[in-house]
Amino acid sequence: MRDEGIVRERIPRGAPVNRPMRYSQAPAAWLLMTPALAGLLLFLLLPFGLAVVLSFSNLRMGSPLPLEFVGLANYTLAFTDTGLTRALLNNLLFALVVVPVQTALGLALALLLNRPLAGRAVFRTLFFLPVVFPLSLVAVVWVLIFAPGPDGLLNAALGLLTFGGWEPRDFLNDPFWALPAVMLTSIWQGVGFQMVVLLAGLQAIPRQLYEAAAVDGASRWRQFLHVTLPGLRNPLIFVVIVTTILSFRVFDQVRIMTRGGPQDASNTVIHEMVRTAFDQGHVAMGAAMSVVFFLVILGIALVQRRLLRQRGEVS
Amino acid sequence: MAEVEFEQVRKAFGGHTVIPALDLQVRDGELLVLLGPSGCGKSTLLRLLAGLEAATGGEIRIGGRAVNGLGPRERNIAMVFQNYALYPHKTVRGNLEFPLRMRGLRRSERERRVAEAARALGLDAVLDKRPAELSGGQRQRVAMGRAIVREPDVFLMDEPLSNLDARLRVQIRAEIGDLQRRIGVTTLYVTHDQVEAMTLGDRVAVMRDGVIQQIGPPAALYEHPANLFVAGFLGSPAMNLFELAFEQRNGARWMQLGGDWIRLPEGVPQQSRFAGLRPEAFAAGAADDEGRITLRGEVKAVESLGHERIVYLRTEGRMVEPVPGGIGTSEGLLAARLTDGARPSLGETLALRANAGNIHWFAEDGTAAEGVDP
Repeated sequence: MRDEGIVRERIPRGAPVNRPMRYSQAPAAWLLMTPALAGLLLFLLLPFGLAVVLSFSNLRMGSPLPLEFVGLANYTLAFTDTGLTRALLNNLLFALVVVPVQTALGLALALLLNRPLAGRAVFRTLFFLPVVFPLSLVAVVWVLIFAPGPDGLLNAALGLLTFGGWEPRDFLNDPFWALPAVMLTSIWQGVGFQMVVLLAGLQAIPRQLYEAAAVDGASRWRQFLHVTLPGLRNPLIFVVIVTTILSFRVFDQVRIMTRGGPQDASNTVIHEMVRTAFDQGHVAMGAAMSVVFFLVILGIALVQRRLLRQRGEVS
Repeated sequence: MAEVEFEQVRKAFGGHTVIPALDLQVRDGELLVLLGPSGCGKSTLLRLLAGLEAATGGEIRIGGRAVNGLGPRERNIAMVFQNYALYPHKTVRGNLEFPLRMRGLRRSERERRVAEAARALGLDAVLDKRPAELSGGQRQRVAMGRAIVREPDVFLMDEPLSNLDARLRVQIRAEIGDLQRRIGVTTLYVTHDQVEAMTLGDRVAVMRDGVIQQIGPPAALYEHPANLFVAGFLGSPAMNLFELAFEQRNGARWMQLGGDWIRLPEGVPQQSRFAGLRPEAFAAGAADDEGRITLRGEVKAVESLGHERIVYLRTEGRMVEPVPGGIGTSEGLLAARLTDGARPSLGETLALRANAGNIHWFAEDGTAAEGVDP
């Protein structure tokens, strides 16, 4: 009672309650935010600003030429003289295949492992295990699986299944197979993550909704369409956005398994950037690519946001 | 429209039997309330009829057709769930329409029925809203609407009012009764609330441990409880139940009821071991004639409700513990509902009289003792 009286005296009716606090605590707040802000500035904004500036220069490692402004030359050259266009297309193809396939697989696994199966805890762990492995390690293992010749694991397995009808091939050096091989590795490694997120989503759907749908006459399939999928809307959105971003960031697998080859068949944007900037020392060109890449990702994020917002918010 | 029959229905979960062997007939167009404390198997019975659980044994028939092997969608029943189970991403219209779409009805027919249900339940204004935007009462009505658009053979309602506040509960309870009478669909209504059971049911079946204790019109259950459980479960406060002692004295039989020895009234059944008196059977003041008995006790509590007073007395005699789930008096106090002007004060010793004809007699095993009606 007494406290209430004091508070009412200080804060006029209708005023936002946190207003006086903000004034008095602002210096402390700024002080506390400083380390985080400094980190953001130092490690994100500054390098990116530097990249934008450098992308208009001719900076090249070990070059005797003086540093000068070259305008948009790096941008035009990036699309004509480097593997950037091909890499962008590869990334697009990668995302178009991996995002739906991996999400569908993750959903299938989640549905399967949400049922009362014997040993489902074991299966859940097994399917999630690759997510915890370092990507580089996963890539090395898959290099062994894709090994060329009849003794390569996958070749040998396919040979066995087709009673010797399979022609052994060098998957990672085959222009047709190199990118799918990287995709397969990525899906295998990432599907457990989707599974876990969607599993949590499934368990949040009340059982009574399924019972109501069954009483209302919905078949299993229609229960899936009308209860499960809408119930998983938010986890699905999350999973799709995360996987899309990861699809455009693919680097480790490519670096270890194919180095972007053969003939850029499995090259990706980040891999091309690293190759240009560090392998070839063409820093300015790498910077220009990273700016282009940033704009592409920004565009995708904006489109996704708009698409998802249109369908309306569901609490 | 259909009658519902359970014949020797058994349900066990794992090795745990919930319903041992149950026989029940629900008449066509009747509203039957399944009443009992939580865990008595009433909801399980409903789920067995809905097809959400499979019976371990026995046969369930809807309209004469055995439905044991059929899934929920082939039984043509509609169910209102305790938490309504509305589809959160669908609008009210989408929710109402859903069972019709699942049955492949034409669009024009769907719209006609949805409009009809919306009008009957006063949902016209909220048809395009989602459940999250509705009040509790509106959600309840949508759940009802989703059940009636189907024009099912049987309605199942699983504690449909338990999520509503007291005022709304009274209002919607009346609406449910009204609606059921209007459309005349056979209805099974599960509740643990005796007021709902008494006011809604054409007949009430009181259940305990998977066994129907008694079934009949509400008034019959109240006036002639078949056993101690039903006697103690119905009524608020519950019936006062006394353990009896008998003695032969001066050539007459005497009975101890609530501490006092009294001459055995006429027509007491031979095998009586317990006597029950409803709180409203009492009046203040000692008995002055033969047909009445007197009870005395110290006033422990008085609840004044304006038009009546509920007085709790500590008597000498042994009272039977109130039934779990029933609204019994605690600690063996006697409850009396006094409507005359008496204003007893705490600690005072109060004499109460009751008509011996109002006593309910029960045998050793708890069933109502058969006897000559006095």
